[in-house]
Amino acid sequence: MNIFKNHKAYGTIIHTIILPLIISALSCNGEGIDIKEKIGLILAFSRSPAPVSVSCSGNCLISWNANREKAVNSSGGGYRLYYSKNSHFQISDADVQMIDVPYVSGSTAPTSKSVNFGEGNWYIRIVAYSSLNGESVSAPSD
Amino acid sequence: MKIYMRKYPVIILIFISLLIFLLAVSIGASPDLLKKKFRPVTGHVKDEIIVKFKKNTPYSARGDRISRMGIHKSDISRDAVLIKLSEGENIEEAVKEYKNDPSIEYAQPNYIYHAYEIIPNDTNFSSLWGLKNTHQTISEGTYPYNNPGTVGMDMDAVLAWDQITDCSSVIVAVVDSGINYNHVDLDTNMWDGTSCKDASGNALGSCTHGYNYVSNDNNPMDLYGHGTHVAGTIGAVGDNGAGTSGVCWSVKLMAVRVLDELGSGTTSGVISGINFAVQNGAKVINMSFGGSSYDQAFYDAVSNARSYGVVVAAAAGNDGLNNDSIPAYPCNFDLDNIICVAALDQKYQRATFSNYGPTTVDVGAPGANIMSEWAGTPYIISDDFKTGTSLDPAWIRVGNLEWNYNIHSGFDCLTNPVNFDWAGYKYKNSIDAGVYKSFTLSGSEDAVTLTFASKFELEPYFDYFRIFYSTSAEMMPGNLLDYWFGLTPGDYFYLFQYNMPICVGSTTCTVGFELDTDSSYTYRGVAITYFNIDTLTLNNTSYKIVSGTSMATPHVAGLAAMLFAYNPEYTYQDVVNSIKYGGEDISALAGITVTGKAVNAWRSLYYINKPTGVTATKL
Repeated sequence: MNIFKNHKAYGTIIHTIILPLIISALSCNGEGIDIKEKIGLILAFSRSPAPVSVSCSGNCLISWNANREKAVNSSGGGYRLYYSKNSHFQISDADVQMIDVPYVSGSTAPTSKSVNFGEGNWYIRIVAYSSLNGESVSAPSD
Repeated sequence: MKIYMRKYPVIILIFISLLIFLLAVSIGASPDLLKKKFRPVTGHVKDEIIVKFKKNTPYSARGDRISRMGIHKSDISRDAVLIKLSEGENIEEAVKEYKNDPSIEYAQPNYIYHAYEIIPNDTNFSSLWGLKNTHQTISEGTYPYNNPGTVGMDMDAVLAWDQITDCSSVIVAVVDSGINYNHVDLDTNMWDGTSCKDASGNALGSCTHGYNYVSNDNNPMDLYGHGTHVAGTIGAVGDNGAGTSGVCWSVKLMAVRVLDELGSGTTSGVISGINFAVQNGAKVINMSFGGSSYDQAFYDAVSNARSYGVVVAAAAGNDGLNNDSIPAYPCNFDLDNIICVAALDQKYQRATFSNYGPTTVDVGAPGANIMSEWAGTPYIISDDFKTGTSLDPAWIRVGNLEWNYNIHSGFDCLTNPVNFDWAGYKYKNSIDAGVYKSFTLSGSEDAVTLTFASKFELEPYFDYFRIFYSTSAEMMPGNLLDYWFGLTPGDYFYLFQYNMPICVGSTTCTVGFELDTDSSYTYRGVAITYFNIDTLTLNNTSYKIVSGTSMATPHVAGLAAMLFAYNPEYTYQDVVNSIKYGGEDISALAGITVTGKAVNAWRSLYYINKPTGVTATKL
C-alpha cells in the first residue's frame, strides 16, 4: 500500500489481502501421561464445585447486596436462602434446606434474614428470583 | 475507518413502495388479530407439581407428604408448595395420588404460560425476521443464503414487548453517518438536543438532535444512509402503522455524524463523537464501524465512556475473519463495556461475511437481510465508457488524444495509452491528455459521490494522473479531486471514492481524468473501470434491506436501551451481563464467540445477575 504516493487522504483504497493459512499443530502425547489420563483429570476436577464462601452457626443474620433487577424487587420476586452443612453444596442437592425471602413492599426485596441454624457450621448461598417467564432464577451466590 | 455494511458488486434496487402496498393490503385484512395474539398454554414443567394443603394440615405433616414423591422446591403461597418430583415419578400419577390425600386441597401440574404477544402494526413488520422469524422470505434481500430462515430464530422481541416497549428514558447515541431525523418513522424518537454540550462539556446552545463532526456544525443530517438504517433498528417508532419497528418502540436517538457521504471518518471525529455522546447523557453508543489499527485515542474515549457507565455495541467486521488473529477495533479493545457483535443469518448461522473470535467477539445478532429506514432515495449513474466497441463520444478528449475505450481483464475500461494492456505498452512522454464527460442530475440531490476502480503505473513524482470535477459542461476549469503517481501493487484494480459536494444542487456534474507526463521515462499507464456516480436525495419515507455486522450491532444497542429502561438501577456491567449471558445458545456460535450465544431480548429481560456481597453475622 505504501507504494502509493498521495498528498491527501481523500482516496479510499481497497485491495484483496491474501492471508497466510496458519495451521497450528497440537501434541497430545509426551510428558509421561496419555490423553485419556488427561481427560480423566479434567473430569475429576470439574466434578468438584468451589467451596461456599459464607458460613455460620447458631443464630445468624445473613445479608447480601440488593439485586438491581426490577423483577426481583417486585411482587413475585425475592431471594431464596439455601443452606447445608456441606461446604461444596449445590442448591439442587437433596439435603439442602431453603428459606424463601420474598419481596414484600418498597423499592427492594429484603436483603437480610435472621436464621437460627442450630448446631454446627452451616454454609449459605443466596439465589435471586422473579416471576418473569413463569419463574426465573439467578445463579447462586459463591 | 470502515463501516461494516455488506456491499455487493451488483446493486439491487428495492421496490419498496410495492412492498409497502402489498403488506398494507395483507395486514389490513385482520388488524385486530395481528395486534394482539394470545399464545395458549403449551404444556407443563415435566417434573414439577403444585400442591395446596388444607389450612388445618400441620406443617410437621406436610414435609412427610412432600417427600413421598419429591422435594420441596419453593413456597407458592402460605399453603401451596412447588414440589420437584423424584426421578421416575409420573406427573399424572403424582397429581392423582395427592388429590386422594384428605389433607390436600388440590394438586396440579406446574403449567407453562406464555406472554401475550404484542405484534406492532408497522406495515413492514413482517419483514423484520430478526425480531420475529416466521420463515418469511425477504424477497429483496441481497444476502443469498438461508432465505427464508427458520421459525423462532429471532430475538424474541415480541415476548419482551409484553414487558416493555418504551425505552424513552434512555439516550442511544448513533455514532455513524448521522440520522435523517425527519424520517417519518424516526422523528418522534429523536433526542431533543436543546441545550446540548460539546465534546468537552461546554454549553453549545441548541443542537439538531445531535452533532456533525464531519462538517463541525450542529446539523447531523445523514447523507449516506447507513446511520439512519442503524437508528431504525434500534428505535424506529413502533406500532405507528408505518414502516418498521425498532427493538425499542420509543427511545431517544442521538445523531452523532462522524462518517461522511462515503461512509468514511477519522479518529478525531470519532473521538469527538463519543465524547459528545457521553457529555450529553447517552447510556448506549452504537458503533457500526471499525478499523484494523490499534488507536490509543479511540481506546481512551471508549474507556472514558465506560467511566460514565456507557455500554458500547460494536460491529465485529465483515471480512469473514477471526478477530482473535486479525484484530478489529473497537471490538478488540480490552474494555468490559464493549459488546462485540457478529452477524447471523435467517437460520441463525454465522453470516458468511461476519467476523468471529473465540475470545474477542461476544455474541451474534440478526445481521443478514435487515430492513430498516434509509436516509433517502439512492440513485446510481453507471458508465462503461463505450458505444458499441468504441469510446462513447460523450467522453470528450482534450489535449493529446491518448485516452480510449479498451477491454482489460474482461472489464470495460477507459485507458491511457489507447492500447493499454498492463504489460508492454507505454504511455507517451510530454503529453497532457484529458478526457471528461458531463452527467445530468436533477438538481435536487443532497449528496453526489464518485466511485471508480483503477490500476496505474506512472513515473513517480514526474508523471501525474489527476481527477477533476465541475458543474460546467467542461472539464476545465475544474476542481481537483485528487492526483496520483507511482504504482498500484499487483495486477488488481483498486477502488477510489470521492465526495463531490459542488455537484449538489447542480443539474450538471462533469468528471474528468488527466494524464500529464514529462519528457523522461514511460510506464504502463492508467486503466479506469466500474465508474459510478452515486447520488442520494433525502426523503422521509425510504427503507432498505442491507446486510452486515453493522446491522447486527444496533439490535444489541436497542436491547441495551431496553434493559436500562426496564431496570433503572442497572449498571453497564449488569446490562452487558444480561445481554451476553442471557442470550440463547446457538450451535453455530459455539467455539467461535466468547459466549456461543445469540442475543435474545426476552431472555435478557428475565436474566438475573448472581447475588453478591453475602455475609453472615453471628447474633
